[in-house]
Amino acid sequence: MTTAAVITMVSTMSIVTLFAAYFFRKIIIIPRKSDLEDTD
Amino acid sequence: MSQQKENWGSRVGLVLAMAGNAVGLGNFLRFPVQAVNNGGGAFIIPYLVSFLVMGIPLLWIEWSMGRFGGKAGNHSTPYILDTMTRNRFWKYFGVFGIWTNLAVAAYYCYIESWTMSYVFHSIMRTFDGMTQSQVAQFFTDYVTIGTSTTGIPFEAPIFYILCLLLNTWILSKGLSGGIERTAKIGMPLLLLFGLFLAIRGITLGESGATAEHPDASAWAGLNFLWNPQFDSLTNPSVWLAAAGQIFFTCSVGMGTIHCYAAYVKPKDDIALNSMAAGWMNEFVEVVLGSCVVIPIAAGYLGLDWVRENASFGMAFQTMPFLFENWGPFLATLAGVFWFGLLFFAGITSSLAMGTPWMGFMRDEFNFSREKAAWSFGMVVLVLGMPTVLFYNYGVFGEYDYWAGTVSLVVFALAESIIFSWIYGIDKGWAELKRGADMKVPEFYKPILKYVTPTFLLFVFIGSVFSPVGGDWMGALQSLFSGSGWPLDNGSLINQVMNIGLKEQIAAATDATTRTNLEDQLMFISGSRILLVVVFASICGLVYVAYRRRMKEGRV
Repeated sequence: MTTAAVITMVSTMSIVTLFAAYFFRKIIIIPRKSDLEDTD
Repeated sequence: MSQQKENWGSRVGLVLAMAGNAVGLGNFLRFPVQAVNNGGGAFIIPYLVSFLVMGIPLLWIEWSMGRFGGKAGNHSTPYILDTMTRNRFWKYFGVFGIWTNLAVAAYYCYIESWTMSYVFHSIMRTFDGMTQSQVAQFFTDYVTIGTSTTGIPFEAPIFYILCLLLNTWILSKGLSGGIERTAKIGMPLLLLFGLFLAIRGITLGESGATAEHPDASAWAGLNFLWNPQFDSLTNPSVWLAAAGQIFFTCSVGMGTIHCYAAYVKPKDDIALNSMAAGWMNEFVEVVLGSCVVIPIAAGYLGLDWVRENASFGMAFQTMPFLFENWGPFLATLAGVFWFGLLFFAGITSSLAMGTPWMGFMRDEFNFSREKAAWSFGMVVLVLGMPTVLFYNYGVFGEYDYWAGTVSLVVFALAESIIFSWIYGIDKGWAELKRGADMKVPEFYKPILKYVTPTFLLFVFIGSVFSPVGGDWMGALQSLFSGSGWPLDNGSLINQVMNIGLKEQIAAATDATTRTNLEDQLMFISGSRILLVVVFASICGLVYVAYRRRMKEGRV
């Protein structure tokens, strides 16, 4: 593989994975407002 | 109006169901082929730009419209649009949000049934010892009704009906007990299967080279996929292809997201949820989707073969043969994982296609959940059987073109205008931010209002006037030199007129080919009539629902 292909592949995959992990982690740690109301 | 209000059981369940709706067969089969054909690594630039200025805005628009509609008890697009616009016309335009799903489900469940059948054949080791051409022939035999690959007569229609029954049964179990539970099982399995195959794809290297294919190399496949060809960035066709891929992959312009979001409670977040689902879909497409088909095919058959044969059909006509190189146990495992992955990708999408019809029938005609689900199954069966029985006559492709391509762009363009210009960007923006668990960047407000509709307009115009070979510069020169605009046979105008098929009929030299093509033209015309009849029938139901609302004082 050429250096340009490796850089493009690794950087693109890293960006996409980071965003996916970041948003998915947030929905796990932040409870739904309706769940909080039900608990109250 | 339906009395039994359903809701999502959990936030993770909702996001997985939404991501499952978006993750489909195209993530693994369409994306890598589009990238290969449109500049390799450079394709990712227009692709990501399209995701940022069209994909994310449309996700936010559809989630906002859906939750807004759900507050008033509307779970499908006809009356969501009606409530937002207060104009008689738009509820009939909203029929697209039901019709598209019925028509797409009709042929999509057929592909899904292939994956079910191929899981069965992988376990039974049907492909053991087959050559590549035999595996390809197996698929041709499978879709040719009457030729049995297992001794079971009418195998393809039987698997289709089984697949439809499974979809209908899950839908009848409801949002939380059916769809959400399926997504919670299917999505982790899909990721697991995808990771296994992706790791195999990127570690294959040059180990698959043989005397027949001495240049075979997975690295060459990955290099071809990711090496940026920056000159392609100035080609409008590449941008249209990237925007088109974002449409397919995000499942926007269909009406499914509206329906799922309509079951979100009014105070709950939609901004963060939509980002989580949208980026999960991107992860599956960009990271997993690019590491399976192309590198594995190039790893055994060489890059030249991939260049000539990269297509959707590789999944069924080539992959089982390639897995045979891994020995009996791994070949079976890989077959089950690959077709299992495609099955989960398919079913989480086809279940979503059932919900707009169910939501509409429950809201307007007080259908029970079970009755709504089985009525969906019946409609899809009637609409889908022509795609199964007359697959070789182009019926399948016709459904895909009108419902799975044109209708998405038309509906997305309309909804972006409704949201930003008719309902009003200020109200729409406030709706998006209500209950948001993330800070929605303010710069997206003008993007939603100006950039997204303009982008969509270009995509629409591009599909209507697509020039021969995608050569826009050449077409402009031809226009200004007085030779007219050379339309491609894939353009919407030429598709409507069946120009490509008519040219083939005119060029046919032998009587058999000519008769076959004329039959194809007849079946294509018949399928168009059927699609129009279904659209008109749903319009009729919307009118009846309107009269009922008038009587009940709900208008």
